[in-house]
Formats: sequence, structure tokens, C-alpha cells
Amino acid sequence: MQMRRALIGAIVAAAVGLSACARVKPHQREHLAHPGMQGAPWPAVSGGAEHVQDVREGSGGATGDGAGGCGCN
Amino acid sequence: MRLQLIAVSMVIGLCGAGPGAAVAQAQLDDEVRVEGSVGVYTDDDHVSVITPTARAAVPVTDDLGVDVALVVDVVSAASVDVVTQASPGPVEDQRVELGLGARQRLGRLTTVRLRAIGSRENDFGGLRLTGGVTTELAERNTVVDLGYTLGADRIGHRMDPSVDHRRSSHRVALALTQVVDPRTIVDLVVEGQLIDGYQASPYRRVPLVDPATPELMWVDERVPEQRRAAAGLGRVRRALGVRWFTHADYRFYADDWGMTSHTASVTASRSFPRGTLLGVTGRGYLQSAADFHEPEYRLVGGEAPALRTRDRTLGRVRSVYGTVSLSAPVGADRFERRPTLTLGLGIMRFWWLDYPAQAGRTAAIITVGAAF
Repeated sequence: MQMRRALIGAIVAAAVGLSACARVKPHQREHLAHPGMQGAPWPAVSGGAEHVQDVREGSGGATGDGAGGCGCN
Repeated sequence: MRLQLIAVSMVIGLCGAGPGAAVAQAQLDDEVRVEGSVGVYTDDDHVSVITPTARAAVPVTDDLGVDVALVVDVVSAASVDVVTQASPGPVEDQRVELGLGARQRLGRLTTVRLRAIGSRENDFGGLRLTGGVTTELAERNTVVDLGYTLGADRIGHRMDPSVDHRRSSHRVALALTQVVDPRTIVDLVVEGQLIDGYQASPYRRVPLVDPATPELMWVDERVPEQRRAAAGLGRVRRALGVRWFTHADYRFYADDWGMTSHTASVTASRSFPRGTLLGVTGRGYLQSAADFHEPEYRLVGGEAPALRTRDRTLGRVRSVYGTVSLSAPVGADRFERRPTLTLGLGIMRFWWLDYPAQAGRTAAIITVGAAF
């Protein structure tokens, strides 16, 4: 439970901290919109690897599900 | 049963709730999109798995999209762990998984999603129901995603139809993506999971040493009925110059079985003319053992230990993984939409430090995919 609270506290603190970052305008997002900046540039390849790792290793979760976006569209 | 743990992650990734959805979380496909791939896994322990997948996403209205995904695993195995514990000889097995999903846009910056995934093999059935919401904030510089997944599994035995175990799971994940500057994105993910019910293997038997006799006694595996886990991930994505991109991430996991793990990975990629992207990825994994995991269990006062396992993934694990990936549009430039081909070649090495019967395994994964 303490671990979970610490993790949530960390992400909230990070959210507050990161929200102070300079706002990037749409015309400045050329690099961010590139396929190489996607969370998983080759999802078929990385999905297959995670498929195997989930079976061969003892811990799963928080692999980046839900993370993403650059406001480029 | 051998495949049950992989039942969900693949389709989640394919269907856009996973890492593959990284740029598209808060948007819908505005055209029909069809994807297919075949993955081939083979290792030095006589296990091979062929995994064909297919997915189609269809926009229904400007604000509503639906998709369907199918994954099939065809397994051929003569592995030590499979043959000695599950079957008297080499096995052929098959798993079929079907996912159905929908996304609804609410306003310009928010999307909600629902998904159902069912998985079936001869001795296992699994169902996952997922709901989530994604919203963009701060002039689209911040993306927040909150998701919940309810799981229900039914575990049987291929040689004993009377075996019928159940378990349920609850998973909550909160993800934050922040655009830091015109070249940098940071992702933070925290996740909590509760699994309740049968979590052992009906095939796995644990040897007990009786100090009074030279013979081993074999008993059923037994692990706690509940498992609470938390994990966190931090990732930095950065564009270097005009054509180079890099990702680096670190993930920490801990659960109330006493297991912790650390995972680090790095990806570097380069873009070429006509939309080709070539990259390499490296990953390292370190895992400690569960509190109750022991290399050898002994009878104490004539009684077996209350908790005992022979699951190699509950002992200490190390692994490394490297892959080369390529994606390239094909066809003439005059077409507005061109299919994109994807190729991947990966090598994995696993070490199970507390499982002398099979201390390591090396595997190769080849992936060929196309999207249109």
C-alpha cells in the first residue's frame, strides 16, 4: 500500500512539475508527430516480444499502456 | 493453460489500448484500417509458436469508431517444463482470442473506450473487460489516461475434466504524457492490480524432501489466493536532429508476494526517405524471488509447507532482449494511402536462477506485418 501511495504521489508531483513546462505550439510539433516518436514505433514487433516476456517472467503491468499522445493531430 | 498469461496483452496492444496506441490515444481512425501480422517464436528447448493476428478498425461516425481483433497461437512443444508436467509427450495446442472494442469522442479533446477480450484454449478460458478515458490538457501538451480492467479466468486440466478453478482480477492504470519541448516527450505510468483466486498450475507438482527417507514426495503446488501488485514506468522520447529518435524507459514492479523487478530498455531509430523507419531496441530485466519460493521444500514435522511452488517465474529471473525493426511503405508514391510493411527480428535470453531443470533458454522471434 505504501508503495502504491508513493507511486501515485510521484506521478502527481511529476504532473504538477511537468505542467510547468513551456507550452509547445502546434506548428512546433513536426518532430513530435514523426512515427519514430510513437511510444511503440513497431507495435507488431514489440507486442510479440511482450507476449513472450509475460510468460517467461514473473511480473507484468505498467508497460506503457495508456501512455502516449503528443497533441499533434 | 500454458498460454493463459499471454492472453490479454497481445490484443490490448493490437487494439490500441497498449503501447502501439501511443500517438493516437485521444483520436479515432478517420478511415477503415486493416492490419495483419504473423509472429514466429522458436527456442532451443523445442518450443515453437506461430501467431497470426488480424485487426480491423472502422469509423462509424465522426465521433465513434469500432474495431475487432483476432489472435491465434499455434503451439508445438516438447519442452522439459511442458512434457514432464503437463503431458506425457510433445504437445500441439492452440489458443484463439477475440477482441471487440469501441471508442467514442466526447468533445474535441476527450475519448472514452470500452473493450471486451475473450481467450479460449482447451484447458483455459479468460475474459477481460476494459474501460478507460483519455483527455488532453494544457493546449494539448498533456495527455492523461485512466483505465480499469476486470478479468475473469476459468482454469481446467486437459486430462482431468473435473478440475475447474476460478480467479478474478482488477487492474487500474493511470498514465500521464507530457510534451516537454518541441523534441521531447515524457511518459509516466502507475498501475495497481489485485488478483483473487486460484493462481497455481494444476499441472505443476512440487517435490518434498523427507529427511527420514531417501525418497521424494510429490504434492500439488500451492500459492496464496490473493496477489496485490504495483508497477511504475517512466519513459523519455526525444528527437535527435532531423532523422534520429531515441526512447529510454525504466519500470519498477513490486507485489505482496515479496517479488520486485527492474526493467530498462532503450530504442534508437533512424528515418529514411519515403517513410522508412529502422531501429534497434535493447532490454534488460532483473527479478527477485517470491518470499515463499525455495529451491527445495522439506517436510517439517511430517507436514508439507503451506505454500510451495515449482514455478520458475516465481524464482529469480534475468533476461536480455535485442531486436532490429523496420517499417516501410510500399507501392507507388502517387497513391494517397500505401500499405506499410513491418519486419522484426529479435533474440531473447532468459535465466531462471532457481530452476536447475532448465536454467536458461534462448529464443528468436520473427515478425512480419502489414497495415493498410
